Amino acid sequence: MKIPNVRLLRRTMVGSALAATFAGLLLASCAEIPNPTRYTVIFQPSYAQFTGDPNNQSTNPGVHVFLEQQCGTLDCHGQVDRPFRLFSQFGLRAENDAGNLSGVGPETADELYSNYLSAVGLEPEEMSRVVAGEDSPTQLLLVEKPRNLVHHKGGQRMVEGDSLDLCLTGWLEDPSHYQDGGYDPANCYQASLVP
Amino acid sequence: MKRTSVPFLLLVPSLLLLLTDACTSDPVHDGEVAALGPEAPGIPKGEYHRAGQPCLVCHGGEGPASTVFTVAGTIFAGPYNATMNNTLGVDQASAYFVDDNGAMNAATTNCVGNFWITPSTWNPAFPIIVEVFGPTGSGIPMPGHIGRTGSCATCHQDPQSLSAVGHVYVPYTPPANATCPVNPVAGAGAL
Repeated sequence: MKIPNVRLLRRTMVGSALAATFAGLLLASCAEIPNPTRYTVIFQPSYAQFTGDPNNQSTNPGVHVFLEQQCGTLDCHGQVDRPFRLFSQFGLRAENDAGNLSGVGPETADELYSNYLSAVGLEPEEMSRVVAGEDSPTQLLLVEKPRNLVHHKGGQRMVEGDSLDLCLTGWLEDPSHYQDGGYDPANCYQASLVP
Repeated sequence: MKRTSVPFLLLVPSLLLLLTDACTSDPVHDGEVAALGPEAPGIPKGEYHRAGQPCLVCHGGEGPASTVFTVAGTIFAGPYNATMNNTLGVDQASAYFVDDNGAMNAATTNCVGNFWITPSTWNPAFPIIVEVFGPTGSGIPMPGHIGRTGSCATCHQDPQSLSAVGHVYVPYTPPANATCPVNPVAGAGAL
């Protein structure tokens, strides 16, 4: 009787297992053709509320004014290499046709829109869940950081319930999802007066 | 008895030395200090040096300066001129500060325009709002607040650009100051 070569048998078994694993992975990777029409719905808070009334910024400044004043200084989020980068008249400027530098000339429409994208794009999917009413605004770094609920190098910049907090969270809380939510321009006006 | 080789004996203290150095050296901070460049010719380290530079790079507690400031800067004569040919420091100008707790403090400039506040005098809670005054009392409030940096020149760098707002100034033309031991024009060096 011929004695089986145990070492050869073991090698064959290991080789077969590896080949099967690779074949499985290969099949799995080809299992689905990418669907070019597939997309993820992202809900965003109102741009109109963010900008306020462009013709009447003194009484309806929107959300952007207090964000730029409180967060967008040149030593904080008014820096090109920081997350949540903010442009403003007296802070960081974007290239503009008028050639205005920091401290000169009004904020441009491009700068305003960039600031909106900075806010909603910080955590886009979480932002979407908050706007859709699936998560609380306190899940967003945009709220957690200035409230100092998580480490914030700039420290606490707003307290729950103050005008800054109400302006920001009211913008994020659609009243159809949040019982006491909803944007109130008066809160943002009060927030814009904070030096 | 097993012998320990000489190279091995040298390796241990060398590694310890490297480890110590690694814990005390911050390459970012070192780079910021190096970027300031050398002292202006004829102006020694002291109250008149490096007018217009971000003071807390060296005086912020990380060295190399031994004196620590909480807020410091330079006030120049205005109006602001983008050609940067008006970096003449103003003597006896004042900067008034109010911090986040409502605590107030003030500082007065020397003959090159430099002022500073030490932690023993005032350790402010950021953000701070500030207004600067010339010797005759004409003041300019800063439109925004100081977020978290005690050096004026961190934001008030020259030349003015998209990311720098230019140096701090007051609308004032100082008279010639014969008592100032150095040239009060920033970077001009000794008299």
